[in-house]
Parts: sequence; structure tokens; C-alpha cells
Amino acid sequence: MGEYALLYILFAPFAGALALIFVSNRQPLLVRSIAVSAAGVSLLASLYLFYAYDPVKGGFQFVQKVEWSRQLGISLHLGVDGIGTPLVLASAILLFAGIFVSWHIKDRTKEFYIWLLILAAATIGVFMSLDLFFLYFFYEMSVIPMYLLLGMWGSHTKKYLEMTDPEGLKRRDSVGFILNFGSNSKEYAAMKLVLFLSAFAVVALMGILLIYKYAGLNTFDILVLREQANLMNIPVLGTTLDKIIWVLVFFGFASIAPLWPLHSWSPVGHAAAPAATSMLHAGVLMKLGHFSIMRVAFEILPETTRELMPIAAVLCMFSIIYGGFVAFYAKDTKYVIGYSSSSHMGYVFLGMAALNYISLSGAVIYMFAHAMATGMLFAMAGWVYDQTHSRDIPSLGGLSNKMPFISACFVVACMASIGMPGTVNFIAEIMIIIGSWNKYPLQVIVAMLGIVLTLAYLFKMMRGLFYGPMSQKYSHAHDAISTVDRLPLLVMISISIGFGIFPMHLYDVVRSGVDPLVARITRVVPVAETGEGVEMRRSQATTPENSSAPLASHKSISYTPQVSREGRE
Amino acid sequence: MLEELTAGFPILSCILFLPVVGAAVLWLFDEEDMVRTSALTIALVELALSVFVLLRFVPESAAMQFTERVRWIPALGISYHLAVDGISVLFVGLTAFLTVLVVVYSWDTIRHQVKLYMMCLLALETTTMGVFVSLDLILFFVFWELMLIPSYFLIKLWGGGAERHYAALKFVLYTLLGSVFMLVGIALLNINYHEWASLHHTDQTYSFDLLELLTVPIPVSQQLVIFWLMFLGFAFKAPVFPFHTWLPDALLEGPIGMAVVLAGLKLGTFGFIRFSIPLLPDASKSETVVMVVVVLGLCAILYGAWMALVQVDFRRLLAYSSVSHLGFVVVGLFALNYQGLQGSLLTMINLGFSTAGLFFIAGFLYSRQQTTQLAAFGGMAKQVPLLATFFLIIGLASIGLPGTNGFVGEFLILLGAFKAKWWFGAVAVLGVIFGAAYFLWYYERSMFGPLGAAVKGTMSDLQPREKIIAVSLSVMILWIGLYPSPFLRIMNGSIQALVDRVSQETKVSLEGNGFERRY
Amino acid sequence: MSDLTDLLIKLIPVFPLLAVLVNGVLGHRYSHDMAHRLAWGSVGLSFLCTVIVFIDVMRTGASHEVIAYQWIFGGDLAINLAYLVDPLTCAWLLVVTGVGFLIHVYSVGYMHGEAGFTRFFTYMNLFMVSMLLLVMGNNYVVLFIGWEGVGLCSYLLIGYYYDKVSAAKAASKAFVVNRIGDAGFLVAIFLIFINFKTLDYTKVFAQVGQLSPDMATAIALCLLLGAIGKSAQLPLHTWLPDAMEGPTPVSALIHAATMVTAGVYMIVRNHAIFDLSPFAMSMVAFVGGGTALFAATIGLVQTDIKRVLAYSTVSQLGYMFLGCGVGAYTAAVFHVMTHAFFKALLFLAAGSVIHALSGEQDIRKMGGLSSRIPWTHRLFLIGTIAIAGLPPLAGFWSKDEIMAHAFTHQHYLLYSMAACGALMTSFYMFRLTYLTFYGSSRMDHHTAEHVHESPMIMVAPLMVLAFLSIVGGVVLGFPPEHGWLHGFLGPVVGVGSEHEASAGMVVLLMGIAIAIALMGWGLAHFLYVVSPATADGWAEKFSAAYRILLNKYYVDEFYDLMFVEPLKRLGAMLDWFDRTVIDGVVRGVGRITDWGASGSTWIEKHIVYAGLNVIGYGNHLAAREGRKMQSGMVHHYAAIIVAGLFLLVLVVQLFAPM
Repeated sequence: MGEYALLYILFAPFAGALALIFVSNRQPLLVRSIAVSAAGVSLLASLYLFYAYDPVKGGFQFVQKVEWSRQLGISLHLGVDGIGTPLVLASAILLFAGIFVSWHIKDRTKEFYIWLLILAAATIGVFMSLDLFFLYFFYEMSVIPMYLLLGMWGSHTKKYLEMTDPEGLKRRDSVGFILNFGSNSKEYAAMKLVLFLSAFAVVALMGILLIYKYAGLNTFDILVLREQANLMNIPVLGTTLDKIIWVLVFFGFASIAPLWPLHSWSPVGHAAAPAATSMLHAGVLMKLGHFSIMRVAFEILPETTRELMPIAAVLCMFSIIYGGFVAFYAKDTKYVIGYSSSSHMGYVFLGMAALNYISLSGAVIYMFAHAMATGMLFAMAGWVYDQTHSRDIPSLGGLSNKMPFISACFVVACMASIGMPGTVNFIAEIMIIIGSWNKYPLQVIVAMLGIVLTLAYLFKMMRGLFYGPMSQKYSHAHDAISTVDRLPLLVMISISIGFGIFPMHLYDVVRSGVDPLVARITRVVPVAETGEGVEMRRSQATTPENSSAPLASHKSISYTPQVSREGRE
Repeated sequence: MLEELTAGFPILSCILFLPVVGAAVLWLFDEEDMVRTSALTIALVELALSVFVLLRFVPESAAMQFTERVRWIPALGISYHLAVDGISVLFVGLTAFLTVLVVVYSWDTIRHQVKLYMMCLLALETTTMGVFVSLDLILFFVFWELMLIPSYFLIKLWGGGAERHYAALKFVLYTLLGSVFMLVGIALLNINYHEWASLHHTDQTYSFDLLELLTVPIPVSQQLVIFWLMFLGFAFKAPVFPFHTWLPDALLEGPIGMAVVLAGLKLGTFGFIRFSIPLLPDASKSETVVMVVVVLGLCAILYGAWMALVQVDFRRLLAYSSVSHLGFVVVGLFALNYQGLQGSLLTMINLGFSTAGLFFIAGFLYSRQQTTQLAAFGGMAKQVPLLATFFLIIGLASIGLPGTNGFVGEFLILLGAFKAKWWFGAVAVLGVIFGAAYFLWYYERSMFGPLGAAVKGTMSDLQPREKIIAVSLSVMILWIGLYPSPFLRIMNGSIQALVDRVSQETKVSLEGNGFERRY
Repeated sequence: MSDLTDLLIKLIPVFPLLAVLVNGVLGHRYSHDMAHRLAWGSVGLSFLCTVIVFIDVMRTGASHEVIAYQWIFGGDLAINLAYLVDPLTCAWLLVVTGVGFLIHVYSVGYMHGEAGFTRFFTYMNLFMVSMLLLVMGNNYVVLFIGWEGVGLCSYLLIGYYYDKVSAAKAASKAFVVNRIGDAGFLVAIFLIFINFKTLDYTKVFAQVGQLSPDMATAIALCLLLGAIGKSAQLPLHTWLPDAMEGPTPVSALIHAATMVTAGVYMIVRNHAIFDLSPFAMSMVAFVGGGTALFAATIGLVQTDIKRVLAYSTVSQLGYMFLGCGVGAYTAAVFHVMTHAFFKALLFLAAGSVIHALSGEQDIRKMGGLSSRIPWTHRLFLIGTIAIAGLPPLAGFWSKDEIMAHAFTHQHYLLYSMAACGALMTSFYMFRLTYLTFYGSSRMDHHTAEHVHESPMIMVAPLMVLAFLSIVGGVVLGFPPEHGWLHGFLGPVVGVGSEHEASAGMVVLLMGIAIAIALMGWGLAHFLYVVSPATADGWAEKFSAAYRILLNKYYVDEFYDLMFVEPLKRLGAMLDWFDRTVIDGVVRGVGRITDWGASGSTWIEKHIVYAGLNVIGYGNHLAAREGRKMQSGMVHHYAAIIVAGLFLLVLVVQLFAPM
């Protein structure tokens, strides 16, 4: 059964959704158990996938290929490499956790779970698609459920960043609306999210179609395209086509990532969404952007990537600081977490921009790590909201007495989010630093300051929620006591810390995916070693832009210390 | 017999994890007395283990001892590498010792959320121990950062002041700000190792291991960058003037137990002597670095003392006196000669008894008057003669009176500073005068003179638990002051290796010379 | 014998130390009797050991170096806790333990009934330990332990009546002022180590010749600073008069007989270094001469019996420094010893007076006591004569020797300073005696009723001291420059000088000295016995000068104005600086973050969001209309897709020709 793992992972949620259609909403337990089992199958299979993936062999494994349209060259081509595997696992974990987090949803439970399962399945589909058509298909498919989930089960976010009474605000139309965002209703959020993402998806689609057309291979298959497509040096509009395609693909997908300044759909979307949706949304949906950029732009246009990736390095700084600043100012728990997510995605872009083994692996691990951390935060913000019906930080406070378990978990989640050592985030962070320093020292420093900023706003929020005096109206709030409520948090915490302490396999898997990619882009040949891990050795033939200043200084001096010292003095 | 039994026994891991496991066990208890007793038991067992390590430690040796090494994340060159040498082993004992005292002190002074408090305290002990015994920089960083969590909560939840939230956050942000720079520095060390190793085709291409990093050369320009990055991390934590403003707040607002740990265990300066100086010898001895750092140290000495002179709150005074003492330590460290390093190391240990001791005294005062403001005291020597006596003994140690531990350290530092540049020493000596001035002035106003208006008519003298603390601290103070031989012998070997490392011109080759001798 | 001597040397400081420990820890458990027996007993044992050691040293002329244990070591530094007992040390040991013993015994009576009786003796014994370490150490660091140790004990004992504000202040002042000197001493130690790579006396002095003159001067001046602090010389003299807040035996032991002479000991011990630097020598001499004169003038008008003695101590210490400065080391040591006898005697007798008057110290409220407390009177008179410098009492010999040495070595200015000082010394001491013991009583009758002679335990030590004051000079230092002490100390401080004075000159100078002393006496007699009103008249007449003297030249006020207050003000300024500037920067960073945050949020709202909303406004209206109908939404969505595809086709077609 092993080789069909991808199919189980992908179709178990779909199957669950399908099954749910035939179940009455009057049997909530049955509804939930179906959803849980679907997610459980998916989770187990993805765990199997994660551990069965052979990092030494590398490449795409568990490949499934079903032809769909010979004329158009479309086939359902599934397969995971070292980059996709952890993201599939993260999606499955968050789906599983999300189902438990939304255990208490009373309103149209069945529909909720159906859409949630579809959302997750579509996301997972992107991570394993090896065909551009299906990649786009799943990508779009993940957006539709978001709309419904937000529109139906979401919550109004009242006023935008500072929460005054929304009802007092009458000027709902025309310029008044435009500037004061009085109407952050869930419908509005859903609308904005969907329109925004769709619009940019179209941009990406244009890029994809251009690839399809100009490759002239009559196939959407990524594996074929990356080997055979020759898109370089076709002059268009004063530049070359590959650059245009790259830009389309990059910004099309970067909108969901979200890269500054394309982020504004995301916090409001997070804020309006129910907890489980936010988790999936911030945890994995955003990573679709990075992943698709890697899969499409990096794989098919390596040369162009090398040339244009510095754009991301510049924008990521804005992402980090800007997102951090807004999060610092925000007074709504979900806005804080939402903007923190968009800030943290800057780290991923930084890791991607540096384009070397360590930093890119760091970026991938960071995606995985961030999925866990932000998932926890959203789950807990959701819990607090469910208990108090408030997300307004200034009006909350003192909840740690009422909910010690949640507040303890919250600390862990904050720590994970800032990359406290011992969590997997830290591993990712240090890899990004190591990898990016030679190329982008300024960005690394900015990123580090971003960590401090993260701590500042997360602690501010933690203090606002859990410490200080408590309002009497929250006296009925209670802790997560039952196993069902605690399970998702415990799962995510143990994953986060477990991989923080034992990241070896994760690292190996990611490296096996990243190495060939980086090798393609930088033309530096990795020398795989047997034995522990997949260790790369930088070839002597480094390309000029990849050779770093310290390295050059090393080369200029002899390594005999005596000589080197004389040389220096 | 005992030796055979203990050979290969991972005693450092036990020391490292006993408190945190103990903290987890505390979770199971509900009764407060049970919690206290268990916490004390754990702390005492920890102390016993530490003393065992100290006794079994081979003195006059530069070797890393009790080494435990497991490859942890081989791909990144991160390993679980614990060991102690003459530089760190004393801190292990000191940490265990202080934790016992803090538990004893907190016995009846902490009245709410006792369990959580003890758990935080024990967790803090683990992380502190971790900082001292880690030889892998990432492992070190892990503990360094984890320390923030219990510290934050200790200050925030059990602090006495109104501003404790602010103080806690300030402390955490300040430290974190420094440590992210340090993390970059650590990463640069690793990158440097990697580049060197790739060119030399050695098997392992990444390493964060101190001992391995020591074997590769680092260009001076690179060393300087790394030095300043790490300097920020350590200087913020230490804190070195002018990065000190979190300290008075944290010490004033936090609980006494936290203040004892913060002021007693000099992690920042330990970082310098453990990592900065051996790893970056060329940067450490470069003219700019020495001048900048030593001048900062000298400023700290005078500035801290001066500030202490005018403080009316005893804990603020102690905070500034800590700044002043750290100035001494920094000056000693960057004198970069034997006496300077030895004196700094000893002074770091000493402060664990004297400054921490004064914080206990502040705690004793606090528990009698619910404040450490000067206005609440006056003429108390008559009311609480024993308290006054121990106050004086510990205070004199802190101002470096001969015969107390403070003198030995201070003398060595000053001598080292003098050897480096005469005016380093000459300026630092002024600190000796001011030290006496601020301490005695405060002592005079709080303990001597007629009974203060706010002093209650009846005030109990030291309670048995307080006596235990005061006496044990005094014993240590006099022991190190009068017969420091065991302590000096423990540290001498490592200090010598460090001096060799710093002074030798050609020590950065892979094969055995200088620092590598110890391994 | 040698082994025994070594053992005894080790034991000398151990006895008082044991007493400290026992009394300190267990003192509150047993009676005062037990405590004081332990205290003086231990000092007595030390004295016995000292005597035996002394005899051994005197007999063999050898010096003993005994290492107790290794103290501070590492690298090129090795400091032992070790003792060096040579003739110089012996001289001091005898004074310290001998006079110390007597004062301990005296204290038993004096301190009887005090609340902190045990505490007192603990501190006194601790002082003995420190003082013994100071004089016995074989290296500078052990000397420094003792040096600071005696400072500590002085602090503790001055602050013995700690509930008195003045006592508490005086204690702190003493310690801090001492510390200024100590800092200088520390610097000297470092310089010595850097130059010699060792801190042991013997090794240092063996290679002292290599020292460059500049370095020698630097070291000597730093040492001098230390000595000035400890021996209360100008300009660090201000702590000693204030130190009189302590109990009188303390004043006698610490602030007259032993501790304050430590500076002299240090200079004599380091004479090899001083000898290399003429400049430093003249500094020593002028500091000494200046202080001798300066303190004497203040002594003229003081009204507190102990303060007069205090200033006289400062003045006498000036003589000792002067002696050192002109190279008369033996004479300086000689004066230390005789001074120890008669000043201890004077202080203790003064203590006896105070004891008799139930604590009264103001001489204006005394008078006519000679008949009420005859023994005290006689003993005090002996002390007065001794200090005034009338032969054959002790003070004469030693002071004269210093002055003679200065004269014969052509230090005429110093000689004249010393001579003026001697005149004033004689005057104010007799003034003190007259005002205290003669004339009519000015006591209030309540005090007068309770006047009583002190008990035997207080008087007996006085008698011994008086005896020593009478014969000490002759025994130790007769004939001048060739006495027993000179022979004994010769190996340490060097014998002989090139300017051997002729016998006639010696006699002449003696005559002058006697004349000066008699003049002072006569003047005092005239002013306070013959014509008591004149004194007040003079005070009227020279009221400005009188007030200056009465206020000790306003030195304290000057220091307060120049150093203490600015220091405090600077501290306050720094405090402001710390809170406003340094912490301000920190808070500023926080505020910048806040600004950044609100600015970013503003951009988010007014640019990013508003911009999008403008675009989305139309859609939004539609969304409001069809809020309940999800199909409408999907419709919109589909419309977008279609529009996108249309765009795409357009683009493709546009590019197609290429």
C-alpha cells in the first residue's frame, strides 16, 4: 500500500467530505467522527509518508500518474520531494487539529466539516502536484472553501485595528467606507480574500499558460518542463519572456504567501475566519505561495530565479518589519497573529532569496515550523474567543486564573513563534541566518530585530489576555479540560518541540529536496555523502555571485596560520 | 570504588536535568508544604551532585572534565556536548548553592502560587546550569534563551513592585535583543568553520562545538564582526554600562529570589570568558576592542558606584553596585593577563556570595518593613543586631575588604589591570573608594543612628531559616577570603590555557599547541 | 629554638583570633566576666609569645620568616600568608601586644556595665589580630589585610555607640578617608609587583637597586598617600579627631598607640624605597612637619579633653613622619614607642576623668579635680610632662632626637616647624592639665556629687604606662643616637649617618628643647593659673584667628564643600542622566517602535487598505445586496475568473505573432 500513500492523503478528506453529504446534521457525533477519521487517515498516511520518504534517494517519490487529457498534455501527476513532504505532513496535522479545535461548532456542523476537509485536501493537492494544471486547480480549489467558511462560520471583526464600537459607525458607504473600514464584516473579509487571491491567481495562471505555450512541449508536466523547456531569451516588450513569466508567477503566488505589499487580504481573512480555518489558512494556505514559487519558478526558470530573486530579498524586509509593526499596534488577537504570520513569512522569503542549501532548507523548515506555531496561536485565540466572545485585547485580561492550561500553552506557542531554542522554529531560524548572512547581512539583522519585535507584541498580547485584572463578565470562561480540547494543542506542541529537539529526519528530507533545486539554480554541484545526513560540500567551482566575501578572503590567504597572520599584519 | 561506579556516569546531565524533572514532579503535589519540602530536597540533591563534581574535579588542569558528547543534529554540526573545566565548574556549584538558599528563603516569603514559583525556580536552575556546562554554542544558546521564560514569570508574577510587568518585559526584550545579535555571531562562527572545513575536506562541514571551533583560524576582520555581535549579547545580559537600565528595574520589581539569581550569577561576563575571549583571541586583544571595552568597564565602575551613592532604595543601590562590580570584572577580563582573568573569574564567583547575599539581606529587610526604601529604616542595629552584623559582613565582602572573598578577586583584577595599562588600574582603584562610600553611607543611615521613625518598636531578629542563609553565605565569604586555595587551584589550569591562547601569536592551527592541549 | 620561635610567631595572632571567634559566636551565652577574661587573656598570651620571640630575636639578631599557608597564587603571582619577624617587627609587636594588653585590662573597668560589652571585646581582639598581621606580614598584601582590618575595627569601634548619629558618621568618615589612602597604597603594591614580580619584602628590598628614580618616587608617593590616610596626616587628618566618638580605650589603643602609627611602620619598613627618592623623602618630612605644626595650633584652643589629645596625636604623628622624612628612622620608631606609652597613658587617664565625671568631656566644665581623683591626676601629669618633652621622661628623648636629626641634617625649616610645634604641644598639654585638674571646679553639682576615683583595674594599667613613660625613653634611647634601640633596629633601618653631631651640639639642642618645653609650660601657667582672664582676652583680641582654630581651619567644611557635596550632587545628576538619558534611549527605542507601529498601521489603513477598498467598493455594494445569497458570491468569483481568462487570451494573442 505504501506507494499509494499520496492518494490516501489526498483523497481521504475528499472521501470524508463526500460521506458527510449523506449524513444528517442531527447526528453531530457521527459527523465529527467521520471528519476525524478522514483527517486521521490522512494524518497517519502523511506520517507514514514522512518517515517512508527516503532522503538518501531523494527526488520525487510515491509518484502517481494518471493521464487526464492527452491533447492538452494534462495528467494527474502526483509526487512529493523533500520540500513537499513536510508541508503535506503539516497540512495533515493542522487538519486533524483543526477538526478538534472546531469540535464545538453547533451551526451547520456538517457543512463546516465538508468545507474544511475540502480546503485541506485542496491544499495538500498543491503540495503533491507535479502538473502545472493540477497545481493551479488545487490552488484555486483551496480558495473557494475559504470563502464559504469565512462567510458562514466566521465572525465580524468589528472595526479594523482599534476596536471601537462598530455599530456607532454609520458612514458605511462611499469615501467613508473606503477610509474607515467600518464594514469588516465576515462577508467583506471573505469577499476581499477571494477576490484578491483569485485576481492574483489569474496573474499566476497567465505565467503558467505562457510557460505552456512557449515551451511548446504540449505538456503541463513540471518534470518534463524543467528538463526540456527553453524559455530563455525570447525578447518581449523590451525584456525577455522568461523574466515576464517569472514575475507573473512570482507575484501571482507571492500574493498568497503573502509578500509585502500584497498582504492586506490575509489579516482580515484570518480575523474573520473561525479558528480551524485560520489555522489552516495561516498554517498551510499561505505556504502554497512559497511552495508554488519554488515548484514553478525555481524549477522551470532557475536562471531567471537567480537573477530576479533579490526582489524578494528586498521585499522581505518590509514584510518582516511592517507586519511586525502593525501586529504591535493591533488590538485584536487575531489581527496580531495574522500580521505576525505575514511578518514571519518574510523569513521564508529571505531564506528563499539567499538561494543556498542551508538557507533554502531553513525556509522550508520554517514553513513547517510556522505552521505549528501559528496553528497553536490561532487555536488558542479561538478558544479565548469562544469563551469570552471577545478578541479585543484591552478588554480582556487575567484569564490565566481561569484557563491555566491555555495560558501555559500560549507561552509555549509564543516561544515557538519567536524561535525559542528547543522548538523547530529555532532550527529553521538559525539555518536561515547561516545561509543568508553572506549574501544578505542587512536582511539578517532586520530579521533578528523582527524576532525581538515578535517577542514584544506576543508578550504584549499574552499579558493583555492572561494577566492583569480580569473583568467580571468573563467569570464563566473555563479552561480546555477535556481531551478533545487539549488534544490539538498537545499534538502541535509535541510536534513543534519534538522536531525542535530531533530535527534530523526533517532536515534530511528537506535537504534531499532542496539540494537538487539549489544545484539547478546556482549551478553548484552538491556532493552527496553517505552516512549520517546528507551533507553537502561546496564545490570549488563556485559561481561568482555565490562566492561570499569571507570565503574570498579565505582564499586570498594561505591557511597556514603563521603565514596568514603575517599576511594580515 | 566510588570512582569505578561513577566512571562514565553522566553526572552533568543529571545535574542539568534534575531540577527540571523535579519541577515536573512538583506538578503532582498539591499541598504547599509538600511542594516546598520537595523543592528543597531537589535543590539539596542538586547541590550534593555539584559538590561531588567539585570534589572529583582534577584541579590545576586545563582539561575539559566529565565530558558528555552526543551528536545531536549532525547535519548542522550541533551536538549535545557538556563538560566543565576550571572556568565553569565553580559556577555549577554556585548555582546549586544559591538555588538551595533561594528555596530556603522563599519558604515563607512566597505565599501564593508556591508550586508554580518553585517550578519556575527549578526550571531556571536547569537553564542556568545549562549555560554553564554547555560546550556547544547552540546548546548554550538554547539554555541562554530558555532562561528568559522562568525569569520573565518570576519577575512578573511574584514581583513586589507596581511596575513589575514593565520590568519583566524590559528585561526579556533587552536580553533577547542582545541574544539575537549573539545568535548571528554564533552563526558566523559556524559559517567560518564551514568554509574552512570545506576547503580542507574534513569530514564534518558544520560545527557549533566550542572545541572544534577553536581549531579553525578566523580572519581578524571576521573576528571583530563576530566579537561585537557576541559582545552585544553578553553585554546586554551582564549588563555592561551603558546597557544596564533593565537591571535596576528588574531587581527592584522582581522577587528577591530572582534578584539573587540575576545578580549572583554573572552569565554575561561568563560568556566573555567562556566564548568570546578563547574563540576570538585576536579580536579580543585588538587595540580598539580592549580600549572600548575596558573604558566601558571603567565607566561602569565609577558610574555604578556614583549612582549607588545617591540611591535611597537598597535594591536599586545593589543594582548599581552590581553594575560597578561588573565593571571590575570586565576590566579584569580585558586586561587579558593571568591576574586579570583569574580575578575576574573569582570575582564572578564572589559576587554570587556577596551581591546575592546582600539581596538576601534586602529580602530580610523587606520582609520586616515591606520595602527597601531608606526611609523605612534607621537605627535598626539595636533592633536586629544579628541582621546588622551579617549585613555588615556581606557588605564588606562586596566592597572588597581584605579577609573577605571580595578582596582577593578585586585585588587580582586591579593588579591585572595595572599590568595591562597602568591607568586602567589607577582609575579602577577609585572604585574601591566609592565602594566603601556608598555601602557605608547606606549602612550608616539604615542601621546606625537613632531609631527611625518608621521602624516598628518590636522587630524580630533573624529567624532560623534566615540564619542558615546568612551563616552559610558568611562562611563562604570568609573561606574564599582567607583560604582561597581550593578555588584558585580549580581555576588555575584553565586560566593558564586561556592566557596561552590569548598571548600566543601562532595558536590557530589544527594540531596541538596552546589551547588544544587541554583536549 | 628556631622551630619553637616559628611556632610562637604563628601563635601570636592566633590567640586573639580564637578569642574573637569564641566571643563573637558564643559571647551572648555567657557572662561578661568570661568574655573579658578571654579577651585580655588572649592578648596577654600573645604578649608572652612576643616577649619570647623578642628575646630570641634580640639574642640571635636573626629575622624569622614563617609561612602559614599559600594564599593567593597563580601565574607569576604567589602571595603567602606569611610572617616576617625582625627587630622592627619586634619593636611594634611589643608595643601592640604590651600596650594592647594594658588597655584591654583597663577596658574591663571602663566598659563595665555597657550593653555591648562582649561586642566591644570582640572588636578589640579583632583589632589586635589585624594589627598583628599588619606588623608581622612578610609581604605587602598581608600588610594590606592588617591595614584594612585595623581600618574596619576602627570603624566598628568608633561606631560602637552606633545609636549616636555623630558616632555613626564619624565611623563612616574614618573608613572612607582611610580608603582614600588605601587606594594609594594599593597602587603602590601594584607598582611594586610590576617592577619586582614579587611582593615579599625580602625579595623586593634585595632588588630595590634596580628601581629607576622616577619609579621609586612614584611608589614612594603612593605609599606615602597610604600612610597619610592611616596616620591622619595632612590633608587626610580629619577623621582622627572625629574618631574620638569611640570609647576612650579605643582612642587610646587605636587612635593613639597603635593603628595610627601603622603609616610610620610602613614608611620605615619601606625605607629602602624612600631612600631612593629624595623628593618623596622631603614630601614625607614636610607632610610630617606641616601636620605637626598644623595640628598643634588647633590643639591650642580645643575644649574637648579627647579632642585635644586627638590633635596632639596628629601632631605627634607628624613628628614621626618628619623623622622618617629626614632619615631618622630609628628616632621615628623610638618616638612611636614612647608616644605609645604616654599617649595611651594620657588617653586612659582622660578616660578615667571622663569615667569619674559620668561622661563629661568638656574641659570648660571641669577644673579642680586634682584632689578628687588624685591618682588620675598624678598619672595624667606624668603623661603631660612626658609629651611636653621634659627630661628625663620618655617624650623628651624621642622628640629631641628627631629634632636634632633634622637640625644636624640641615633641615632648618623643618626643625623650626618642629620647634614651634613643640612649644605649642607643651602649652596646650599644660593648658589641658590646668583646666582639668586645677583651679576652681566648674562642674555642675550633679556631676560633682558623683566624682569618684576609678577602680584599681583601671588605675593599675595606668601606673604601668606611667612607669614606662618615665623610664621608657632612657631605657630605649639613651644616649641619643646610640641607645639600645638604635643597636637593635640597626640591621633593619641602617645605622649611622654621615652627619654625626658633636656632643656639644647635642647638648645645645637638648637645652633648646627643654627651654621650649618650659616656655610652653610657663605660658600655660601664666594664662590659666596666674592670670586666667588673659586667655579669654586674647581670644577676644584675636577672635578671627581664634575662631579659625576653634573650627579646625574649616577643613571639614572645605572638604564638604569641595568634594562631598559636589560628589553627591554629581551623583544626583548622574541619577537624572541614568533615568532620563540612558533609560530614555531605551524608552525612546520603545517609542520609535510605537511610532513605527502606528505609522505602519496608518499606511495599512489609509493606503493599502483604502486603495483596495476603492477597487473593491463596487463589489462591496454588490456583496451587501446579496449578503444572504452565497450563489451571488460565487457568481462574482466566476466573473472574475472569466475576466481573467479573457485577459489571458488577450495577452497570449498579443504575444503570439512573436
